[in-house]
Amino acid sequence: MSEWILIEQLKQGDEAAFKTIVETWQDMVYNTALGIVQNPEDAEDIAQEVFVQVYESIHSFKGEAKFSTWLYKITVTKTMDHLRRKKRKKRFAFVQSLFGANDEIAHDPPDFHHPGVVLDKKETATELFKAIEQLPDNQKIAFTLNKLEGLNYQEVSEIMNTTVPSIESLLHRAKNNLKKLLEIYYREKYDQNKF
Amino acid sequence: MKKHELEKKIEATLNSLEHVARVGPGPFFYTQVQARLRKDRTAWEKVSAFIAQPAVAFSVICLVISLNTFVIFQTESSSSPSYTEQKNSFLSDESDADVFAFYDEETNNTDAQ
Repeated sequence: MSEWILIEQLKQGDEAAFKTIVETWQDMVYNTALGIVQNPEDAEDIAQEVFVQVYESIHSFKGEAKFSTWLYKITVTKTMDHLRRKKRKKRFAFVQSLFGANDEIAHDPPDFHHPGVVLDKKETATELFKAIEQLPDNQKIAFTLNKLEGLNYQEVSEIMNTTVPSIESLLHRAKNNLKKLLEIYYREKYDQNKF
Repeated sequence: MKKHELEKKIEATLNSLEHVARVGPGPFFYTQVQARLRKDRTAWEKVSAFIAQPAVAFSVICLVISLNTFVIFQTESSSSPSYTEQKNSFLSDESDADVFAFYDEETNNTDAQ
């Protein structure tokens, strides 16, 4: 069934159309969120929020952009909100720990293993995700959309509401930063193994 | 570690997301979305049901009316002149009236004599 028919049906409150929409685009939404937040539970939570938002604001979708672009935009916004909430919580926990109010020990998050990575690249992919985690948010989003979702510069620029040249420069900076981070990581690892 | 080796390793790491497969959420994803939608709707329904209660609605209307009345009275009292302004204006009116009346009367008397 065409996506336009599905959208029209959803606008009329058709539950079956909503189910088809969820089932068609759930992997795209979940995979994008997973690449950015690097946590399966959080990614699933974000994906649910995205589809609730789709259901509630489908009337605002006028069809000027592709439906997938609109979905990516909602996903990126929800993911950013999630990251901001997480950072706020972290800061609050830190302040609490300064006053001795929070006795919880802060743990480093475990290494993230993306289930879709081919077996012989699992180890290097985990190291790459560790470096991606340290990128500024806009570089992280552009890199994830381009490398993990395989979107071209034009598509990434539409999702991030910017121009193609600025996406090119954003990705160039992201790559340079990743190179620097990986260099530090491998040098430290090599020095540790030497001694 | 040699520079060449390091560069090679970094390049391999950067390319490790090539041919990555897209992954999806758990098997009951749609059911969870539906449950979330229902939860959200129930929350709004609770809010609207609370507002629609006669006691709540009546109290809100009374509060709005009393606030409006208070604001109207406040505006009226601030727009009427203060006691000092009233006193000054009264005294100046009185003195002006007396002075002219007195001289007018005196002038009239002298003319008559």
